Amino acid sequence: MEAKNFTSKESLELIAHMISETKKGIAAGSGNPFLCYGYTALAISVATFLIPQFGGSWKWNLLWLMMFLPAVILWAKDRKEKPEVVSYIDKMISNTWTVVLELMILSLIVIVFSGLASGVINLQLMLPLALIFVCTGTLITSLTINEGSITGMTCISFAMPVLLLISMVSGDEYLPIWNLAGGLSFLFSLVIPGHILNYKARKS
Amino acid sequence: MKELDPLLHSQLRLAIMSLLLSVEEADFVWIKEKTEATAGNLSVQIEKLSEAGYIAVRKEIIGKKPRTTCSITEKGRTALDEYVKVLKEYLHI
Repeated sequence: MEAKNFTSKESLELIAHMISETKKGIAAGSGNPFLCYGYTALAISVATFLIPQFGGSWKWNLLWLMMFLPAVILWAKDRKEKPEVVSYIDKMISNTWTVVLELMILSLIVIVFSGLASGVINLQLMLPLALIFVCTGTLITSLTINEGSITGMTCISFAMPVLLLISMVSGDEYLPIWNLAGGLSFLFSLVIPGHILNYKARKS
Repeated sequence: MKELDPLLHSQLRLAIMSLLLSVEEADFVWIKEKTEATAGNLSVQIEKLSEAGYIAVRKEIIGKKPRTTCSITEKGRTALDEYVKVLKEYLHI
């Protein structure tokens, strides 16, 4: 293509052609961040469920803080390689997940500082809060890319954090099985959606 | 009847603007692939559009490699919108 002038009709045709060139399907590897967070969450949920069964301390629940590890890995990876083109949808989804991560960090800070003031740091709330934030992020993503199966699955996943909150408000003791329940919710809101996204990307 | 913007009424510059219209930002290599232009010619046209304030150009180093990213500005969007309006008048659409 050269910098030559052309007719009005050719101009309109060129604009239409170039705009159609920017249409793209789901980028390859779109589901990888979901899988990265999802499998980390699954591993932590199983570990925090099993360890107390063998006499381990409840302090192993602090393993949930490792959920921030994929964020560091993905951030380091993003710094090294950037996509050739960023669509408005890509940007919107990326911003959504940035907000999800920020909300989790903010919640953790609030819980820790309010705990320091009262003398007891209660991190129990982090699991249902994290689930709600993640489910919201996955829902926004699925609605944006119009992926109904992920939307439905994530709506079901929402039940788990609500049930956990009900138990907490009722004053129930924090049971190891809650960690497994959280893992199940992450399975439906991160792991399976991640595989669906990668499958769709391969197909497109 | 209004005149067509001479800066946009050029095949390569219009192609660059149309590509950038639909994306948040795009890499120089991607634009080169889509327009099938030579790197030298593309650089010159990008420079002209940037000087006019129609596009923003960001140069950075990613993983030890230089990278040029372009995005359309609000001024560029308005200019392209106006260009299409005038085109439609010419073509009586």
